Amino acid sequence: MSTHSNHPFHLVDYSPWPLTGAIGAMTTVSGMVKWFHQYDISLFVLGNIITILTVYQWWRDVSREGTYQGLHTYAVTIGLRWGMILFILSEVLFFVSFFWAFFHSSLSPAIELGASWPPMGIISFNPFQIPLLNTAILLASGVTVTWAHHSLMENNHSQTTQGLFFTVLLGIYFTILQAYEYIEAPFTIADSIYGSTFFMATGFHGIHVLIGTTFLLVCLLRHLNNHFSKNHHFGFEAAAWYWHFVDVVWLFLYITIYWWGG
Amino acid sequence: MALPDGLSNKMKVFQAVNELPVFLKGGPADKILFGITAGLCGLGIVSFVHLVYTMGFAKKKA
Repeated sequence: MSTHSNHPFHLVDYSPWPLTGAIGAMTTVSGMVKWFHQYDISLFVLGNIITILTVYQWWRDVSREGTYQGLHTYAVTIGLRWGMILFILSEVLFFVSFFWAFFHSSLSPAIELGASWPPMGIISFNPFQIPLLNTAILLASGVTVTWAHHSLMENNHSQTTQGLFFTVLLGIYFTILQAYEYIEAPFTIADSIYGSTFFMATGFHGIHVLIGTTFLLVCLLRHLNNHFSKNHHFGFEAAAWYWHFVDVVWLFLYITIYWWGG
Repeated sequence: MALPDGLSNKMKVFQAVNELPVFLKGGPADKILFGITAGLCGLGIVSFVHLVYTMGFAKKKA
């Protein structure tokens, strides 16, 4: 590659990762077919392994291009920002569908549910116990990630490390508590529309918390390896945006599904 | 401000003028990891074809 050009854009190297990613996705969904029809999860596991290897190497290469090769100019960074904004927008619409399904049923419960919400026979969670604690945890993690961001912009390495560390820790703590809630749940995903909408919404949120925590952990590792500067740290900003999004989704979940709908 | 040694060394490695693409510039470890990924992809494709064949043509057991 050459680091000298007469334009500010990044013309990427030929990359195998879109192809291996496509093969990984195909193998994963084919593996689901095999799992459901032949009771064999080997192909499904193989697909996930291929996908994980692909995403690791793909994002590793992006980090190399941005940090070691200096290819992420201001113009390139603007493109990355728009990409992340649009990705988060798609995630917002993803969650809108679950909230839509929830409100569709909860605002006008059918006679089969006993014409009431929660449906007859459902014992819902007390919103002022673990769910409230989880709300406090995510709000606190929003503060710590902002602390890390401001520290980074002020070129304070140690404070950034602390902020990121505590954010990751709080994310893990949230996940542990949510897992405990699931274990202790008095209803399942198969228990009427309540169980379906509850576990779909909170389950996907939980997955997003795991993704966000991993994203922040990667940022922490990159920070410890001096990848970020006070002027060039979009990878961290993307993780912070994503984390704030996860936080806001939880607030909506808590208010509508745990509190109002419980 | 001087760059940390680790970072400056990495920059030299990845900015070296050669014909290697970014996913192989890291050295032998990159080649091994890429080889494993490619091998597993090949295995995935073969397994997929085998799945389609068995579900489409294999006779059901009595």
